[in-house]
Amino acid sequence: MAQIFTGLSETPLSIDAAADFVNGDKNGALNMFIGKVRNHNLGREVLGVSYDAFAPMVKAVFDDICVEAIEKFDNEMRCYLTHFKGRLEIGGISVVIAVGSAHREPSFQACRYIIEELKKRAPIWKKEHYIDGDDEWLGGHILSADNG
Amino acid sequence: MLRLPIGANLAAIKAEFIAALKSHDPEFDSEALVEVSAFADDCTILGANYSLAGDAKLAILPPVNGG
Repeated sequence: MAQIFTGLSETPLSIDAAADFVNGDKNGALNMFIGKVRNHNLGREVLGVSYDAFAPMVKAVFDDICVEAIEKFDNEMRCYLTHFKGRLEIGGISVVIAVGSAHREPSFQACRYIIEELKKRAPIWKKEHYIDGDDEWLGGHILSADNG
Repeated sequence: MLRLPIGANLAAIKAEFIAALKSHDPEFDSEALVEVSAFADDCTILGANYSLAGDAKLAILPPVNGG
């Protein structure tokens, strides 16, 4: 049975699918991180966020990050990572990470590791749409050959 | 499409790309964004020691902020 599921989706992300994938009789811990669109950023009122991605590279980066998490924290854990591509309104789910492991500590560590590495390494961008009709691509982490 | 000599390095590719953007749009003023962007093929970010070996299709990846 596969230990990793990763993907980029243009349809709504499923929390249930993530929980189901990492579930297992050996696992006493299931840790999730769910990223959502909030209604404010840096003092501006936000209506929604559009996500774009360089799809050919996203899955490879996601797979690498999950393999690293397994190697660092628990060789038998299961990891699920999906990110949305397209426009989301307030409350929309942009990313779902789930980790199932025998004990709680590796699942906490792996979940944190996966979201932090995703933010630094995944070729994904977001444009915020504001209540005043303006929109803006946000800055972020510079990609380099060394952090991939 | 850009034309560069075999062996062109990443700095030369970025310079040529910026020149092409300025030629296309004389008001283009985002050189700094190109400078901080990574260049990649379909699966690998190009390192500073990259050199052009032939025809190549490259992606320009600005700073990222998924999540």
